[in-house]
Amino acid sequence: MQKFFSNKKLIVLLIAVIVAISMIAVTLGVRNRRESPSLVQQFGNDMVGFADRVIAVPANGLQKGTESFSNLFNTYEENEKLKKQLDQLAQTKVTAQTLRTENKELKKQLKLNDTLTDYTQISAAVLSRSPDNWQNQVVINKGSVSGVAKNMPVMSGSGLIGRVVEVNKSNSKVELISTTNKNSDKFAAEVTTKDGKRVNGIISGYDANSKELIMSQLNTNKGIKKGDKVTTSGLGGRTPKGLFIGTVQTIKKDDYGLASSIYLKPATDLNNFTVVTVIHREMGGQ
Amino acid sequence: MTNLRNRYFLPLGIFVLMLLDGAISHVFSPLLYHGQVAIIIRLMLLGFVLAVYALPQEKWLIWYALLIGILYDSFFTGVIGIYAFILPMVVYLLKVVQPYLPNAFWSLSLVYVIVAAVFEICVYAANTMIGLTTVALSTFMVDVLAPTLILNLVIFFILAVPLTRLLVRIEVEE
Repeated sequence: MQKFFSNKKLIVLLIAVIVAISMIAVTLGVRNRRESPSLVQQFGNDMVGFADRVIAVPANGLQKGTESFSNLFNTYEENEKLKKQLDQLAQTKVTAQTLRTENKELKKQLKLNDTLTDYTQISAAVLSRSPDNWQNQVVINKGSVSGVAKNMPVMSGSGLIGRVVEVNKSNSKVELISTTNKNSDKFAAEVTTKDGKRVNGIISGYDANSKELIMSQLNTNKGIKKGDKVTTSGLGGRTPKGLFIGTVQTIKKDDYGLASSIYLKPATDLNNFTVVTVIHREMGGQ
Repeated sequence: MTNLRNRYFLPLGIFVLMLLDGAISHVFSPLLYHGQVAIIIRLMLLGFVLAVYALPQEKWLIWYALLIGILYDSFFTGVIGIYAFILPMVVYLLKVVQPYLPNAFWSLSLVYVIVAAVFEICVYAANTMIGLTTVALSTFMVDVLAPTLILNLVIFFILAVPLTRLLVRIEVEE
């Protein structure tokens, strides 16, 4: 064990540490700033992505199999519940359609082409998830070839789940909103209260214990009630207006009693999804 | 040594284990990530530890660790340097210490737990330093490290013997 820390090895170790730290600094900078990583890295990620498909496809198939098995047991209960909702749905659908056509005509009259609420969708499947959950990242199977770009919001089911942080040619990485990353971009959100007023704020964090999102920096907390719906406000970045985030659970004052923050129940389970939708806002951003 | 297929079998096998880590983490995410509890699957590390024991004459192992570390960083997180440094480091240290340790199964299981703990702590420390996570140390110890070690030890007991047999067979064919 005497040669454990010989001079030569110490120098090698030192060089390795320096190289590692500078690589971290460079790649972290790329991740925070530029649109996509270097071509070599992109190529490597695409190759690994192709290999990963061989493993991910049967794995996802297995998951679907077990899911449908457990669904079989819940079917009756779910059916009863859904029947009740179905009666209202038809009416809502017709109203939505009428409003949509009316909206389109009014926009035409005003000569508005794209507004903050217009977006197109790109469907993608989740390939794999970063095993150490430090950044809460998943890898999806669509990249820049399919039109995915950095900072696009990502939905699953009925709610927002995260944002694209890195784009390769054929796969990209999505950071979930439950992340504890300090440097991640925050979503601008708004609460629509019962009397139709709008309250702006940002989604600032995630409470892992209660599984609730935290919305803070509100301009007011008047009129916000439990059960109010929270959506994206479309202010800043590449996020359109009106993506569903969650419903208000509790309203808490901070330690000084000045500002208050809202705790939201996310619209989808952030730990259980296989198919996601990347949202592309029609109106340019950034 | 002339057989090229055997030459590539080991790094390819560990690469597949790395991809399996990601696939398992995604498929079982409702079970593995629950509130603050996060269980990390580490088949890749198991592959390396067993390879150090089963193939002590394999000189390229540290370079394989470097390669797999870079691929892991690039594919899963996009920040190169964390696994690319820690993985070869851990493999190297284990390779230095290994000749002094008894080769029994129970000793190996203990070594695996220690290696896995050192590995997770290093990764957590690196992530905290660059601000990619803000999980507190106490939370990490209780909700991440402890369940991770328990699950990985269970996986070790199931997979250690068949994987070692597989590795020894490569050695014989070489």
